[in-house]
Amino acid sequence: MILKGKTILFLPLLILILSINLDTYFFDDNFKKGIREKDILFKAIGSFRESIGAMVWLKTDEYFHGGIPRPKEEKCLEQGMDAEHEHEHKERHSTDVVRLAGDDFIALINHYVSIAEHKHLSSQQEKEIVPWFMLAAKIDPHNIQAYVVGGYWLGERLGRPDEALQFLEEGRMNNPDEWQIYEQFGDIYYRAKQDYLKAANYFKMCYRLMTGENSTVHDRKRILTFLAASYEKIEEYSLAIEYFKLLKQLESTAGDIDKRIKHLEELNRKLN
Amino acid sequence: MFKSLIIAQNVLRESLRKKDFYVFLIFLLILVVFLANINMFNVSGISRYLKEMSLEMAYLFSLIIVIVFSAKLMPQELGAKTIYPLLAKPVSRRDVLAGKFLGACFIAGVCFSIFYSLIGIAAALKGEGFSLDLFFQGYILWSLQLMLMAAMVIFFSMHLTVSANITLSFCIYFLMNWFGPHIREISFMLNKTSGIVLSLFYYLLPHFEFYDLRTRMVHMWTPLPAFIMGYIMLYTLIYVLLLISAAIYSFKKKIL
Repeated sequence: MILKGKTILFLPLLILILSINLDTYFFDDNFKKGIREKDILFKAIGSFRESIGAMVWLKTDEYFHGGIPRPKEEKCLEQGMDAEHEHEHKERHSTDVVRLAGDDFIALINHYVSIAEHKHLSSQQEKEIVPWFMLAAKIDPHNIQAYVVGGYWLGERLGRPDEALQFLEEGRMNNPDEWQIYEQFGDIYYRAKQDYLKAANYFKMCYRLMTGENSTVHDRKRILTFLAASYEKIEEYSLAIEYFKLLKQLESTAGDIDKRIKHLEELNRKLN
Repeated sequence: MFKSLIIAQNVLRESLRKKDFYVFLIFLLILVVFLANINMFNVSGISRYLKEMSLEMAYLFSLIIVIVFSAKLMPQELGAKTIYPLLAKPVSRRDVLAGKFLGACFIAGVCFSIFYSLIGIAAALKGEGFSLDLFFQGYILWSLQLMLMAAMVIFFSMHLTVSANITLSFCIYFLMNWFGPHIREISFMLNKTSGIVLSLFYYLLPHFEFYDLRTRMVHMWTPLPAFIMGYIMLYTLIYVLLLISAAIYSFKKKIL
Protein backbone atom coordinates (compact mmCIF):
# COMPACT_ATOMS: atom_id res chain seq x y z
CA MET A 1 0.00 0.00 0.00
CA ILE A 2 2.90 2.33 0.76
CA LEU A 3 4.34 1.78 -2.74
CA LYS A 4 1.83 3.31 -5.08
CA GLY A 5 1.94 4.06 -8.76
CA LYS A 6 5.31 4.85 -10.22
CA THR A 7 7.03 5.06 -6.85
CA ILE A 8 7.70 1.38 -7.50
CA LEU A 9 9.85 2.38 -10.49
CA PHE A 10 12.39 3.85 -8.10
CA LEU A 11 12.71 0.63 -6.16
CA PRO A 12 15.23 -0.98 -8.58
CA LEU A 13 17.22 2.26 -8.54
CA LEU A 14 17.29 2.25 -4.75
CA ILE A 15 18.35 -1.41 -4.71
CA LEU A 16 21.09 -0.65 -7.25
CA ILE A 17 22.46 2.26 -5.20
CA LEU A 18 22.33 0.15 -2.04
CA SER A 19 23.99 -2.85 -3.70
CA ILE A 20 26.82 -0.68 -5.07
CA ASN A 21 27.48 0.66 -1.56
CA LEU A 22 27.40 -2.82 -0.03
CA ASP A 23 29.61 -4.08 -2.82
CA THR A 24 32.12 -1.27 -2.23
CA TYR A 25 32.32 -2.25 1.42
CA PHE A 26 32.80 -5.96 0.82
CA PHE A 27 34.90 -5.69 -2.33
CA ASP A 28 37.66 -3.58 -0.76
CA ASP A 29 37.65 -5.53 2.47
CA ASN A 30 37.91 -8.90 0.81
CA PHE A 31 40.29 -7.91 -1.91
CA LYS A 32 42.87 -7.15 0.77
CA LYS A 33 42.20 -10.37 2.67
CA GLY A 34 42.48 -12.50 -0.44
CA ILE A 35 39.05 -14.09 0.10
CA ARG A 36 37.93 -12.88 -3.31
CA GLU A 37 39.37 -15.81 -5.23
CA LYS A 38 37.72 -18.40 -2.99
CA ASP A 39 34.20 -17.10 -2.46
CA ILE A 40 31.78 -17.40 -5.37
CA LEU A 41 29.49 -14.65 -4.09
CA PHE A 42 32.32 -12.16 -3.74
CA LYS A 43 33.67 -13.26 -7.06
CA ALA A 44 30.28 -12.60 -8.70
CA ILE A 45 29.88 -9.21 -7.05
CA GLY A 46 33.48 -8.36 -7.83
CA SER A 47 33.07 -9.37 -11.47
CA PHE A 48 29.91 -7.27 -11.75
CA ARG A 49 31.78 -4.30 -10.43
CA GLU A 50 34.72 -4.91 -12.75
CA SER A 51 32.37 -5.22 -15.73
CA ILE A 52 30.66 -1.93 -14.93
CA GLY A 53 34.07 -0.34 -14.37
CA ALA A 54 35.28 -1.68 -17.72
CA MET A 55 32.19 -0.30 -19.47
CA VAL A 56 32.78 3.10 -17.95
CA TRP A 57 36.44 2.82 -18.92
CA LEU A 58 35.47 2.24 -22.56
CA LYS A 59 33.66 5.57 -22.42
CA THR A 60 37.03 7.28 -22.06
CA ASP A 61 38.09 5.88 -25.41
CA GLU A 62 34.72 6.69 -26.97
CA TYR A 63 34.89 10.27 -25.75
CA PHE A 64 38.33 10.65 -27.27
CA HIS A 65 36.88 9.55 -30.62
CA GLY A 66 33.88 11.89 -30.55
CA GLY A 67 31.47 9.57 -28.75
CA ILE A 68 31.87 6.58 -31.06
CA PRO A 69 33.91 3.40 -30.56
CA ARG A 70 37.43 3.49 -31.96
CA PRO A 71 37.21 3.10 -35.75
CA LYS A 72 38.26 -0.19 -37.32
CA GLU A 73 40.97 1.54 -39.37
CA GLU A 74 42.68 2.86 -36.26
CA LYS A 75 42.58 -0.57 -34.61
CA CYS A 76 44.14 -2.08 -37.74
CA LEU A 77 46.86 0.55 -37.71
CA GLU A 78 47.63 -0.23 -34.10
CA GLN A 79 47.94 -3.86 -35.04
CA GLY A 80 50.59 -2.96 -37.59
CA MET A 81 48.61 -2.83 -40.82
CA ASP A 82 50.58 -1.23 -43.66
CA ALA A 83 49.39 1.90 -45.48
CA GLU A 84 48.30 0.10 -48.66
CA HIS A 85 46.28 -2.46 -46.75
CA GLU A 86 44.79 0.34 -44.68
CA HIS A 87 43.67 2.24 -47.79
CA GLU A 88 42.14 -0.93 -49.22
CA HIS A 89 40.40 -1.57 -45.90
CA LYS A 90 38.96 1.97 -45.83
CA GLU A 91 37.74 1.68 -49.42
CA ARG A 92 36.08 -1.66 -48.76
CA HIS A 93 34.44 -0.35 -45.58
CA SER A 94 33.01 2.75 -47.25
CA THR A 95 31.81 0.75 -50.27
CA ASP A 96 30.01 -1.65 -47.92
CA VAL A 97 28.25 1.23 -46.19
CA VAL A 98 27.20 2.87 -49.44
CA ARG A 99 25.97 -0.44 -50.86
CA LEU A 100 23.95 -1.13 -47.74
CA ALA A 101 22.65 2.44 -47.60
CA GLY A 102 21.48 2.24 -51.18
CA ASP A 103 19.54 -0.94 -50.50
CA ASP A 104 16.55 0.44 -48.59
CA PHE A 105 15.33 3.61 -46.94
CA ILE A 106 15.84 2.33 -43.36
CA ALA A 107 19.53 1.66 -44.02
CA LEU A 108 19.79 5.03 -45.76
CA ILE A 109 18.36 6.89 -42.74
CA ASN A 110 20.55 4.87 -40.39
CA HIS A 111 23.58 5.69 -42.50
CA TYR A 112 22.97 9.40 -41.95
CA VAL A 113 21.82 9.20 -38.33
CA SER A 114 24.74 7.07 -37.16
CA ILE A 115 28.15 8.76 -37.23
CA ALA A 116 30.49 7.35 -39.86
CA GLU A 117 33.17 10.03 -39.65
CA HIS A 118 36.11 10.02 -37.33
CA LYS A 119 37.62 12.72 -35.14
CA HIS A 120 39.77 13.12 -32.06
CA LEU A 121 39.18 15.59 -29.27
CA SER A 122 40.86 18.93 -29.85
CA SER A 123 43.29 20.18 -27.20
CA GLN A 124 40.57 22.40 -25.68
CA GLN A 125 38.18 19.46 -25.47
CA GLU A 126 40.58 16.88 -24.01
CA LYS A 127 39.36 17.62 -20.50
CA GLU A 128 36.03 15.99 -21.39
CA ILE A 129 37.45 12.52 -20.74
CA VAL A 130 38.34 13.33 -17.12
CA PRO A 131 34.99 12.28 -15.56
CA TRP A 132 35.15 8.83 -17.12
CA PHE A 133 38.53 7.68 -15.84
CA MET A 134 37.65 9.21 -12.49
CA LEU A 135 34.40 7.23 -12.41
CA ALA A 136 36.07 4.05 -13.74
CA ALA A 137 38.59 4.20 -10.88
CA LYS A 138 35.85 4.92 -8.34
CA ILE A 139 33.81 1.93 -9.49
CA ASP A 140 36.76 -0.44 -9.75
CA PRO A 141 39.66 0.78 -7.59
CA HIS A 142 41.82 -2.00 -9.03
CA ASN A 143 41.57 -0.75 -12.60
CA ILE A 144 45.25 0.10 -13.02
CA GLN A 145 44.79 1.45 -16.54
CA ALA A 146 42.28 4.04 -15.30
CA TYR A 147 44.80 5.42 -12.80
CA VAL A 148 47.72 5.33 -15.21
CA VAL A 149 45.93 6.90 -18.17
CA GLY A 150 44.13 9.34 -15.87
CA GLY A 151 47.46 10.37 -14.35
CA TYR A 152 48.95 10.87 -17.80
CA TRP A 153 46.07 13.05 -19.05
CA LEU A 154 45.87 15.14 -15.92
CA GLY A 155 49.59 15.56 -15.43
CA GLU A 156 50.90 15.80 -18.96
CA ARG A 157 48.06 16.82 -21.25
CA LEU A 158 45.92 19.02 -19.01
CA GLY A 159 48.75 20.61 -17.05
CA ARG A 160 47.51 19.49 -13.63
CA PRO A 161 50.49 17.56 -12.20
CA ASP A 162 49.47 18.09 -8.57
CA GLU A 163 45.98 16.72 -9.18
CA ALA A 164 47.49 13.86 -11.18
CA LEU A 165 49.79 12.96 -8.28
CA GLN A 166 46.83 13.07 -5.91
CA PHE A 167 44.88 10.73 -8.20
CA LEU A 168 47.85 8.39 -8.57
CA GLU A 169 48.34 8.35 -4.82
CA GLU A 170 44.77 7.06 -4.51
CA GLY A 171 45.68 4.39 -7.05
CA ARG A 172 48.87 3.50 -5.17
CA MET A 173 46.95 3.09 -1.90
CA ASN A 174 44.54 0.68 -3.59
CA ASN A 175 47.22 -1.12 -5.61
CA PRO A 176 50.54 -0.87 -3.78
CA ASP A 177 52.22 -3.60 -5.85
CA GLU A 178 51.46 -2.36 -9.36
CA TRP A 179 54.58 -1.02 -11.07
CA GLN A 180 52.60 0.87 -13.74
CA ILE A 181 51.39 3.38 -11.14
CA TYR A 182 54.95 4.07 -9.93
CA GLU A 183 56.03 4.51 -13.54
CA GLN A 184 53.35 7.17 -14.01
CA PHE A 185 54.44 8.90 -10.81
CA GLY A 186 58.01 8.93 -12.14
CA ASP A 187 56.84 10.18 -15.51
CA ILE A 188 55.03 13.15 -13.99
CA TYR A 189 57.97 14.07 -11.77
CA TYR A 190 60.34 13.70 -14.74
CA ARG A 191 58.40 15.48 -17.47
CA ALA A 192 55.87 17.78 -15.80
CA LYS A 193 57.53 18.71 -12.51
CA GLN A 194 61.16 18.13 -13.56
CA ASP A 195 61.96 16.87 -10.07
CA TYR A 196 64.48 14.24 -11.17
CA LEU A 197 65.36 12.96 -7.71
CA LYS A 198 61.73 12.02 -6.98
CA ALA A 199 61.38 10.69 -10.52
CA ALA A 200 64.42 8.44 -9.95
CA ASN A 201 62.99 7.17 -6.66
CA TYR A 202 59.68 6.25 -8.28
CA PHE A 203 61.33 4.62 -11.29
CA LYS A 204 63.55 2.63 -8.92
CA MET A 205 60.50 1.45 -6.97
CA CYS A 206 58.82 0.61 -10.25
CA TYR A 207 61.83 -1.40 -11.44
CA ARG A 208 61.92 -3.35 -8.16
CA LEU A 209 58.28 -4.41 -8.63
CA MET A 210 58.82 -5.57 -12.20
CA THR A 211 59.17 -9.28 -12.82
CA GLY A 212 59.36 -11.43 -15.91
CA GLU A 213 55.66 -12.27 -15.49
CA ASN A 214 54.12 -8.84 -14.94
CA SER A 215 56.17 -6.92 -17.51
CA THR A 216 57.80 -7.30 -20.90
CA VAL A 217 61.45 -6.69 -21.82
CA HIS A 218 60.31 -3.56 -23.62
CA ASP A 219 58.73 -2.26 -20.35
CA ARG A 220 61.91 -2.93 -18.39
CA LYS A 221 64.04 -1.23 -21.05
CA ARG A 222 61.83 1.86 -20.89
CA ILE A 223 62.00 2.08 -17.10
CA LEU A 224 65.78 1.57 -17.06
CA THR A 225 66.21 4.32 -19.66
CA PHE A 226 64.20 6.77 -17.57
CA LEU A 227 65.89 5.67 -14.37
CA ALA A 228 69.36 6.17 -15.80
CA ALA A 229 68.33 9.48 -17.39
CA SER A 230 66.92 10.73 -14.06
CA TYR A 231 70.22 9.97 -12.28
CA GLU A 232 72.12 11.61 -15.11
CA LYS A 233 70.03 14.78 -14.65
CA ILE A 234 70.89 14.99 -10.95
CA GLU A 235 74.56 14.26 -11.73
CA GLU A 236 74.59 10.90 -9.96
CA TYR A 237 76.69 9.54 -12.80
CA SER A 238 77.81 6.31 -11.14
CA LEU A 239 74.17 5.28 -10.56
CA ALA A 240 73.25 6.33 -14.09
CA ILE A 241 76.10 4.15 -15.46
CA GLU A 242 74.92 1.23 -13.32
CA TYR A 243 71.42 1.38 -14.83
CA PHE A 244 72.69 1.92 -18.36
CA LYS A 245 74.76 -1.25 -17.91
CA LEU A 246 71.61 -3.11 -16.87
CA LEU A 247 69.87 -1.70 -19.93
CA LYS A 248 72.78 -2.86 -22.11
CA GLN A 249 72.15 -6.43 -21.00
CA LEU A 250 68.60 -6.23 -22.39
CA GLU A 251 69.51 -4.53 -25.68
CA SER A 252 70.58 -6.54 -28.69
CA THR A 253 72.34 -3.56 -30.34
CA ALA A 254 74.06 -1.73 -27.55
CA GLY A 255 76.36 0.64 -29.55
CA ASP A 256 74.57 3.84 -28.49
CA ILE A 257 74.46 2.75 -24.87
CA ASP A 258 78.19 2.10 -24.87
CA LYS A 259 78.80 5.64 -26.16
CA ARG A 260 76.49 7.02 -23.48
CA ILE A 261 78.25 5.04 -20.73
CA LYS A 262 81.65 6.30 -21.92
CA HIS A 263 80.38 9.86 -21.91
CA LEU A 264 79.00 9.45 -18.38
CA GLU A 265 82.24 7.89 -17.15
CA GLU A 266 84.12 10.93 -18.44
CA LEU A 267 81.70 13.27 -16.68
CA ASN A 268 82.02 11.24 -13.50
CA ARG A 269 85.83 11.47 -13.63
CA LYS A 270 85.63 15.24 -14.07
CA LEU A 271 83.21 15.56 -11.18
CA ASN A 272 85.43 13.57 -8.86
CA MET B 1 -11.45 17.13 -34.24
CA PHE B 2 -12.75 19.68 -31.75
CA LYS B 3 -14.25 16.88 -29.64
CA SER B 4 -10.94 15.02 -29.69
CA LEU B 5 -9.13 18.16 -28.57
CA ILE B 6 -11.45 18.54 -25.57
CA ILE B 7 -10.83 14.89 -24.61
CA ALA B 8 -7.07 15.44 -25.03
CA GLN B 9 -7.25 18.53 -22.84
CA ASN B 10 -8.98 16.52 -20.11
CA VAL B 11 -6.37 13.76 -20.37
CA LEU B 12 -3.58 16.31 -19.95
CA ARG B 13 -5.31 18.02 -17.01
CA GLU B 14 -5.93 14.70 -15.31
CA SER B 15 -2.35 13.51 -15.76
CA LEU B 16 -0.79 16.74 -14.49
CA ARG B 17 -2.90 16.41 -11.33
CA LYS B 18 -1.06 13.16 -10.58
CA LYS B 19 2.32 13.25 -8.86
CA ASP B 20 4.27 11.08 -11.32
CA PHE B 21 5.63 13.85 -13.51
CA TYR B 22 6.76 15.93 -10.53
CA VAL B 23 8.60 12.95 -9.04
CA PHE B 24 10.58 12.53 -12.27
CA LEU B 25 11.20 16.27 -12.53
CA ILE B 26 12.57 16.48 -8.98
CA PHE B 27 14.72 13.41 -9.58
CA LEU B 28 16.14 14.95 -12.78
CA LEU B 29 16.73 18.26 -11.04
CA ILE B 30 18.65 16.55 -8.22
CA LEU B 31 20.69 14.58 -10.77
CA VAL B 32 21.57 17.67 -12.83
CA VAL B 33 22.54 19.71 -9.75
CA PHE B 34 24.61 16.80 -8.41
CA LEU B 35 26.40 16.21 -11.73
CA ALA B 36 27.05 19.90 -12.29
CA ASN B 37 28.70 20.22 -8.90
CA ILE B 38 31.16 17.33 -9.03
CA ASN B 39 34.72 18.60 -8.70
CA MET B 40 36.79 17.11 -11.52
CA PHE B 41 40.29 17.74 -10.17
CA ASN B 42 39.69 21.50 -10.36
CA VAL B 43 39.42 21.31 -14.16
CA SER B 44 36.63 23.70 -15.16
CA GLY B 45 34.32 23.71 -18.17
CA ILE B 46 33.78 19.94 -18.42
CA SER B 47 30.20 19.42 -19.49
CA ARG B 48 29.82 16.50 -21.90
CA TYR B 49 29.29 13.93 -19.14
CA LEU B 50 26.56 16.17 -17.72
CA LYS B 51 24.90 16.51 -21.12
CA GLU B 52 25.08 12.80 -21.79
CA MET B 53 23.83 11.56 -18.42
CA SER B 54 21.06 14.11 -18.03
CA LEU B 55 19.86 13.64 -21.62
CA GLU B 56 19.81 9.89 -21.03
CA MET B 57 17.64 10.39 -17.97
CA ALA B 58 15.34 12.92 -19.65
CA TYR B 59 14.82 10.54 -22.58
CA LEU B 60 14.19 7.61 -20.28
CA PHE B 61 11.82 9.50 -17.98
CA SER B 62 9.75 10.90 -20.83
CA LEU B 63 9.61 7.43 -22.35
CA ILE B 64 8.43 5.88 -19.06
CA ILE B 65 5.80 8.60 -18.68
CA VAL B 66 4.44 8.20 -22.19
CA ILE B 67 4.39 4.38 -22.10
CA VAL B 68 2.81 4.07 -18.67
CA PHE B 69 0.22 6.83 -19.26
CA SER B 70 -0.75 5.66 -22.74
CA ALA B 71 -1.03 2.05 -21.62
CA LYS B 72 -3.52 3.01 -18.92
CA LEU B 73 -5.63 5.49 -20.89
CA MET B 74 -8.14 3.13 -22.52
CA PRO B 75 -8.16 0.23 -20.01
CA GLN B 76 -8.91 2.76 -17.21
CA GLU B 77 -11.92 4.13 -19.08
CA LEU B 78 -13.14 0.64 -19.87
CA GLY B 79 -12.44 -0.76 -16.40
CA ALA B 80 -14.11 2.11 -14.52
CA LYS B 81 -16.94 2.07 -17.08
CA THR B 82 -16.57 5.84 -17.56
CA ILE B 83 -16.50 5.14 -21.29
CA TYR B 84 -20.32 4.69 -21.30
CA PRO B 85 -21.28 8.23 -20.28
CA LEU B 86 -18.61 9.49 -22.67
CA LEU B 87 -20.01 7.55 -25.61
CA ALA B 88 -23.57 8.47 -24.65
CA LYS B 89 -22.72 12.04 -25.68
CA PRO B 90 -22.43 12.83 -29.39
CA VAL B 91 -18.87 11.58 -29.45
CA SER B 92 -17.80 8.74 -31.72
CA ARG B 93 -15.37 6.00 -30.76
CA ARG B 94 -12.92 7.48 -33.27
CA ASP B 95 -13.09 10.85 -31.48
CA VAL B 96 -12.47 9.20 -28.11
CA LEU B 97 -9.43 7.28 -29.31
CA ALA B 98 -8.01 10.19 -31.28
CA GLY B 99 -8.54 12.41 -28.21
CA LYS B 100 -6.74 9.94 -25.97
CA PHE B 101 -3.85 9.77 -28.44
CA LEU B 102 -3.61 13.55 -28.66
CA GLY B 103 -3.74 13.71 -24.86
CA ALA B 104 -0.85 11.24 -24.61
CA CYS B 105 1.10 13.37 -27.09
CA PHE B 106 0.39 16.52 -25.07
CA ILE B 107 1.58 14.85 -21.85
CA ALA B 108 4.73 13.59 -23.57
CA GLY B 109 5.32 17.00 -25.14
CA VAL B 110 4.87 18.96 -21.91
CA CYS B 111 7.04 16.61 -19.82
CA PHE B 112 9.80 16.31 -22.40
CA SER B 113 9.86 20.07 -23.10
CA ILE B 114 10.35 20.82 -19.40
CA PHE B 115 13.05 18.15 -18.98
CA TYR B 116 14.80 19.27 -22.16
CA SER B 117 14.79 22.97 -21.26
CA LEU B 118 16.25 22.15 -17.84
CA ILE B 119 19.14 20.25 -19.47
CA GLY B 120 19.66 22.99 -22.07
CA ILE B 121 20.02 25.60 -19.32
CA ALA B 122 22.32 23.40 -17.21
CA ALA B 123 24.59 22.61 -20.20
CA ALA B 124 24.80 26.27 -21.20
CA LEU B 125 25.71 27.32 -17.66
CA LYS B 126 28.23 24.54 -17.06
CA GLY B 127 30.27 24.38 -20.27
CA GLU B 128 30.14 24.44 -24.03
CA GLY B 129 26.32 24.02 -24.22
CA PHE B 130 24.63 22.55 -27.28
CA SER B 131 24.80 23.44 -30.96
CA LEU B 132 21.48 25.21 -31.54
CA ASP B 133 20.65 23.31 -34.75
CA LEU B 134 21.22 19.95 -33.10
CA PHE B 135 19.39 20.98 -29.95
CA PHE B 136 16.37 21.77 -32.10
CA GLN B 137 16.72 18.60 -34.20
CA GLY B 138 17.11 16.48 -31.06
CA TYR B 139 13.94 18.01 -29.62
CA ILE B 140 11.91 17.41 -32.79
CA LEU B 141 13.10 13.83 -33.22
CA TRP B 142 12.57 12.75 -29.63
CA SER B 143 9.10 14.37 -29.63
CA LEU B 144 8.31 12.40 -32.78
CA GLN B 145 9.52 9.23 -31.10
CA LEU B 146 7.26 9.88 -28.11
CA MET B 147 4.34 10.41 -30.49
CA LEU B 148 5.12 7.14 -32.25
CA MET B 149 5.46 5.35 -28.94
CA ALA B 150 2.10 6.72 -27.74
CA ALA B 151 0.44 5.48 -30.94
CA MET B 152 2.02 2.05 -30.60
CA VAL B 153 1.06 1.69 -26.93
CA ILE B 154 -2.52 2.82 -27.58
CA PHE B 155 -2.76 0.29 -30.41
CA PHE B 156 -1.47 -2.46 -28.11
CA SER B 157 -3.88 -1.39 -25.35
CA MET B 158 -6.74 -2.52 -27.59
CA HIS B 159 -5.43 -6.08 -27.47
CA LEU B 160 -3.26 -6.49 -24.36
CA THR B 161 -3.47 -5.99 -20.62
CA VAL B 162 -1.72 -2.95 -19.13
CA SER B 163 1.28 -4.86 -17.79
CA ALA B 164 1.74 -6.90 -20.98
CA ASN B 165 1.48 -3.72 -23.01
CA ILE B 166 4.11 -1.88 -20.95
CA THR B 167 6.50 -4.84 -21.03
CA LEU B 168 6.11 -5.41 -24.77
CA SER B 169 6.52 -1.72 -25.57
CA PHE B 170 9.75 -1.46 -23.59
CA CYS B 171 11.03 -4.68 -25.15
CA ILE B 172 10.37 -3.41 -28.68
CA TYR B 173 11.94 -0.06 -27.86
CA PHE B 174 15.16 -1.53 -26.50
CA LEU B 175 15.32 -4.28 -29.12
CA MET B 176 15.00 -1.82 -31.99
CA ASN B 177 17.25 0.75 -30.40
CA TRP B 178 20.08 -1.70 -29.82
CA PHE B 179 19.72 -4.12 -32.71
CA GLY B 180 17.46 -2.30 -35.20
CA PRO B 181 20.12 -1.47 -37.79
CA HIS B 182 21.66 -4.95 -37.63
CA ILE B 183 18.52 -7.09 -37.98
CA ARG B 184 18.79 -7.07 -41.74
CA GLU B 185 22.47 -8.03 -41.72
CA ILE B 186 21.62 -10.96 -39.41
CA SER B 187 18.74 -12.03 -41.67
CA PHE B 188 21.23 -12.54 -44.54
CA MET B 189 23.18 -15.00 -42.39
CA LEU B 190 20.15 -17.19 -41.56
CA ASN B 191 18.33 -19.76 -43.68
CA LYS B 192 15.63 -18.58 -46.08
CA THR B 193 12.55 -18.93 -43.81
CA SER B 194 14.18 -17.42 -40.71
CA GLY B 195 15.68 -14.70 -42.90
CA ILE B 196 12.24 -13.76 -44.27
CA VAL B 197 10.72 -13.68 -40.76
CA LEU B 198 13.54 -11.47 -39.50
CA SER B 199 13.25 -9.19 -42.55
CA LEU B 200 9.54 -8.82 -41.80
CA PHE B 201 10.40 -7.70 -38.28
CA TYR B 202 12.94 -5.31 -39.75
CA TYR B 203 10.38 -3.61 -41.97
CA LEU B 204 7.33 -3.86 -39.69
CA LEU B 205 8.68 -2.81 -36.29
CA PRO B 206 9.23 0.91 -35.73
CA HIS B 207 12.88 1.92 -35.94
CA PHE B 208 13.39 3.82 -32.72
CA GLU B 209 17.09 4.19 -33.39
CA PHE B 210 16.32 7.00 -35.89
CA TYR B 211 15.33 9.39 -33.14
CA ASP B 212 18.33 9.31 -30.84
CA LEU B 213 20.73 12.16 -31.61
CA ARG B 214 22.46 12.12 -28.21
CA THR B 215 25.95 11.30 -29.50
CA ARG B 216 25.70 14.02 -32.13
CA MET B 217 24.45 16.52 -29.58
CA VAL B 218 26.88 15.70 -26.80
CA HIS B 219 29.98 15.55 -29.00
CA MET B 220 29.08 18.51 -31.20
CA TRP B 221 28.86 16.69 -34.53
CA THR B 222 27.18 18.22 -37.55
CA PRO B 223 23.36 18.37 -37.68
CA LEU B 224 21.38 15.91 -39.83
CA PRO B 225 20.67 16.95 -43.44
CA ALA B 226 17.21 18.45 -43.91
CA PHE B 227 16.05 15.69 -46.27
CA ILE B 228 16.80 13.01 -43.64
CA MET B 229 14.75 15.00 -41.10
CA GLY B 230 11.99 15.06 -43.70
CA TYR B 231 12.23 11.28 -44.25
CA ILE B 232 12.04 10.58 -40.53
CA MET B 233 9.05 12.89 -40.11
CA LEU B 234 7.28 11.20 -43.00
CA TYR B 235 8.14 7.74 -41.67
CA THR B 236 6.74 8.68 -38.24
CA LEU B 237 3.61 10.25 -39.66
CA ILE B 238 2.80 7.18 -41.79
CA TYR B 239 3.48 4.86 -38.88
CA VAL B 240 1.35 6.88 -36.45
CA LEU B 241 -1.54 7.10 -38.92
CA LEU B 242 -1.43 3.35 -39.54
CA LEU B 243 -1.28 2.50 -35.83
CA ILE B 244 -4.02 4.91 -34.81
CA SER B 245 -6.27 3.79 -37.70
CA ALA B 246 -5.72 0.16 -36.64
CA ALA B 247 -6.47 1.08 -33.01
CA ILE B 248 -9.65 2.94 -34.03
CA TYR B 249 -10.72 -0.05 -36.12
CA SER B 250 -10.12 -2.43 -33.17
CA PHE B 251 -11.97 -0.08 -30.80
CA LYS B 252 -14.94 0.11 -33.16
CA LYS B 253 -15.06 -3.70 -33.33
CA LYS B 254 -14.78 -4.05 -29.54
CA ILE B 255 -17.94 -5.16 -27.75
CA LEU B 256 -18.41 -2.91 -24.73
